[in-house]
Amino acid sequence: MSADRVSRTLVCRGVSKTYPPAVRALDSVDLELRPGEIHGLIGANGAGKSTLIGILAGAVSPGRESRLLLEEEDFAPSSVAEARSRGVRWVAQELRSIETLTVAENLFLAELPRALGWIDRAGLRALARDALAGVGLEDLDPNCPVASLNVGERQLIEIAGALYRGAAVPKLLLLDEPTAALTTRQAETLFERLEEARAAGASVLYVTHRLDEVLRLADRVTVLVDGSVAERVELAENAGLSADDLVDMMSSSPGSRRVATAGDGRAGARVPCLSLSQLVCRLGDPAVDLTFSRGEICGLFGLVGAGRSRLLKCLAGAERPASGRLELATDGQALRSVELRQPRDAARLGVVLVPEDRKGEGLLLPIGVGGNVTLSSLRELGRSGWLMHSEVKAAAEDSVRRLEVKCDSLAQPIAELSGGNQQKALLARSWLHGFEVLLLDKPTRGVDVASRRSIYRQLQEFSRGEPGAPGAAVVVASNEAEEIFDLCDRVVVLSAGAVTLDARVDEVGERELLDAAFKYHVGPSALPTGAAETVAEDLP
Amino acid sequence: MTASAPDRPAGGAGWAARSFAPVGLSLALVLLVALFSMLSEHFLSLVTLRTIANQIPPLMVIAIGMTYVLIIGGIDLSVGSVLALSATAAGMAMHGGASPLVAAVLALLVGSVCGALNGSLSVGLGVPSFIVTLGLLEAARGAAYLVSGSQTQYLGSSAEVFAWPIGGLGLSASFLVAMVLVVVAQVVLTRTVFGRHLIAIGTNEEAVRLAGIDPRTPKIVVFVASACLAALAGLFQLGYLQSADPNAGIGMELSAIAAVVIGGTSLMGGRGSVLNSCLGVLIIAVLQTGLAQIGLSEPMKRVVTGAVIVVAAVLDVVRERVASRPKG
Repeated sequence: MSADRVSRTLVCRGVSKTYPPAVRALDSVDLELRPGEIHGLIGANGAGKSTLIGILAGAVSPGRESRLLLEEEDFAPSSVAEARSRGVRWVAQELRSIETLTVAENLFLAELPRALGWIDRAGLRALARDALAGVGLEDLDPNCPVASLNVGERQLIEIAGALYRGAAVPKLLLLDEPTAALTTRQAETLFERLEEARAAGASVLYVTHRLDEVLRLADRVTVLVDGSVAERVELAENAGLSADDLVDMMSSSPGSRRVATAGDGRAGARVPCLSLSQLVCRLGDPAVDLTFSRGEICGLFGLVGAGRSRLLKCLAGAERPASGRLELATDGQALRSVELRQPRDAARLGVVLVPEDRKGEGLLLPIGVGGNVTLSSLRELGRSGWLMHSEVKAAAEDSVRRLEVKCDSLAQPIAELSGGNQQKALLARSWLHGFEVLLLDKPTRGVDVASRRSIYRQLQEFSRGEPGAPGAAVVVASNEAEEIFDLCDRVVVLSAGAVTLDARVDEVGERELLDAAFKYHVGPSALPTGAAETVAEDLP
Repeated sequence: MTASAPDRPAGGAGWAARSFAPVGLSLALVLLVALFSMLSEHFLSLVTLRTIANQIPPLMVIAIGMTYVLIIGGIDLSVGSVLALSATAAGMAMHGGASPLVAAVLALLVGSVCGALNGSLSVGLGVPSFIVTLGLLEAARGAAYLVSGSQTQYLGSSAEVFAWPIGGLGLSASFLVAMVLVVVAQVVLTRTVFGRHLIAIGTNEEAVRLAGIDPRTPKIVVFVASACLAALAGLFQLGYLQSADPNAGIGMELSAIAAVVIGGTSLMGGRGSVLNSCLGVLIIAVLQTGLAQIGLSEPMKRVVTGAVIVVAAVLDVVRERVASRPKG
C-alpha cells in the first residue's frame, strides 16, 4: 500500500466502553486521524480521554460495537505489544518506568538488543544515547538507574521510548498529558520532536489539560463531554479561537445551572467546626486557608492532581501536613488547635475520612459486610475488650438498614457487593462510629445512578442533622461539576494545590468551576512557585 | 462475625468450604491414626499416645504464637533460637542456685525482650519481619551459646517441675498448659475486639488505619506474645529433657510454620485459626511417631513429612478457589 493512497491513519467508528456495572465511559465516539496531523483531544475529568487512548494503545478492550481501522485495515489490538507492532506508540498518563532498571533498559525493555541470547550492552547504550539525544537528554548517562531521576526526566524517557524510530517509523503516537511534569524548556523540546514527527507523516493524538499547547500545536481538536464527541474544530479555519472558547466547549451545558435541591430551604445556623490556617500539605505546596461549617456540604473541585486527596488526608490525620494550623470545634467545644498524628486521633475528635481507593484503603474484601461496617466501632460495642456478638450484630443490621446497603446477609463477603453498595457500607461504618466532620474522596466513583442518589440523600441528611443533634460538616472531593451542583451547598476549587474559588453553588456555574480549576494548569509558565512539584508529585 | 459466620444461610459453597478446614483436618488425623494402627500393632497404645502428648507441648505453644503472627501478615523465624536462649538462661540460673520460679520468670523476661525487639523493629521502623526475625534467629542462637558456654547444662530432677507428670494419667503439666493456651488463644482470636482487629489488620492494614484504629500496638503485642510463647516452650523443653541445651529448637520455626499452614492459616495474613493449627501440630506429631514405628528411616520420614505439608497447602488453595467461586 503506497503512502499517498492512505488518507486516514486511523478511523474510529462508534467506539464505546462501559465499565461494570454500568459506568458509560465512552459512548459511540467517531474520530479520524490524517497522516501528518497533530490532533488535540480535550475534555473535563472523566470525559473519556484516557479510556479512548487506552483502547487505541491496546491496554483497554473496547465495547463490542466499536470498530477501529489503522491504515484502512482492521485494528483490534488485544495487547499493548500488538498495538506497538502495528506502529502505535503510547505515552501513558502515569509513569510506568521500572525504577530499579537503568535508563537504557527502560527505553528498550520490550526489544532489548540481543547477541547470542545475551543483552548487547554496547548496542543498547548506543541506541539509548541516540534516543535520549532526541528529547534533549544527551547528557544523561544511559546506565544510571531510573530511580535517580526526577519526575520530569522520567516522563521524558517514556516519551523518548515512544518517539524513537528504531526499525519502523511510528505511525500513530498517543500522548496522554505528556507535559504534566515537564519544565517549559523540556516541553519545547517535545514540541519540536512532535513537529518533526508530523512532517515525517506520523499522526499524533494529544491529550492535555493545557489548552494553550493544543492551540499552538494541533491541526484539529476533538472535545469530549461525558464520553461523547461534543465538538470538532479545524484550528486553521478558526484562527481567533482562545483557550476560553475551548473551556466553554468542555462544559456539558453553558452558563449557570442548578439542578438539585441540595441546600434549598435548609434551616439551622452554619457553625464553623473545622478551620485550616496556612496549611501546607507537603513542602512546596501553596498554603491553604479554609473553614468548613456544620450543616453545610462543601464540594472540593479540581483537575486530577490538584491536591484534593492530599488535603483530605491531612484533615483526617492520615498524612502529616508540612506546616500550618488545624482548628476543630467538635465534642461541644469551641474552636481549638489540634494536632492529628494518625487517623485514630482524628476519629476520636469526630473527623472521619471515606477514602477514594475503596478496595485498597477502605474495605476488608474477603470479610463479611457486618465485619466491615463495625470495624471502627468494635471497641465501643464491646465490653472491656470482649466482643458482644448480639450487640455487634444489632449495630451492623441497624447501620446497614439506615444506609440502605443491599446484601444477602451480614456474613456475605463485601467483595461480592456492587461498587455502590460497597460505598454505602463505608458510609455505614462512618455513621456507626459517629462523626462531626465527614470527609469523602470521590464517593461516587464507579457507583451506579440509583446508589448515587441514595448516597446524596444520606449525605444531605447527615449535614442537616436531626432534632437535638446538630448537623455535620460534610466535605466531598469530586471530579464532576454535576455532582457539585447536585449535592453541595458550597464549592471550593483547587488548582495546583491553591484555592482558586470559594463560593456558594447557586452563585456560580460550571464555566466558573472549570475556569478556576484550569487557572494554574493552563501552561507551565503560569504555575505559581512550587506548583510544578505539586503536579509532578501527584503522579502515581 | 466472619470466621464463624453464624448468620450466613447454610448450604452455600462458601459456607461448606469455610467449615471444611477443621472437619477435614480431624478426618485426616483420624485416617492417619487408623493407617498407622493397621501398619503397626504397637501404634494404638496408651504408651504411644502418652509419648506424643508429652513431646508436642513446645511445638504446640510456638504454633499458637506463629498463628497470630501469620494472621497479621508477619512471620517469626526467631522462635527456635528464642526457645534455646530462654532455656539456657533459665538453666544457667538454676545451675547457679536460683529457684525454678525465678528461672521461669527470667526465661519469660528474655522472651519479652526478644519479642519487643522483633515488634519494635518490624512495626515501628517498617523493616520486614522476615528480615528482623531472621537476624534474631542468628543472634539469639549465638547468645544461647554465649550464655551456656556452648555446653549442655544437665539439671537433673530439679527441672522436672516444668514437665511435672500429673499423677495417674502419665501426662505432663506442660501438655495441659499447652491445651489450655490453645483454647484461650482461640477464644481471644474469635471473641475479643483485639482478635477481630488482628484479622482486620492482616486483611488490609491501611484500611484499618484509616478506619481510626492504630494497627501498630496490636502488632507489637503479637510479636511479644510469640516470643514469650517460645520462651515457655523453652521451659517445657527444659523440663522434658532435664537439661538446658543451646542446640535446642533448631528448625522449630519451620516445623511451626508447617503445622500452622497445614491448619489452613494464610501466609498472606487475615485468615487463621489456633484450633486448626493445633490439629496441624497433632498431624505432624502422629506422622513423625507413626513413621518411626513402622520402621521408616529418618531420610524417608523427612520426605514423607515434606510431601504431606505440600499436599495440605495444595488442598488449601483448592478450598480457597471453591470458597471464592462466584455463586450461581
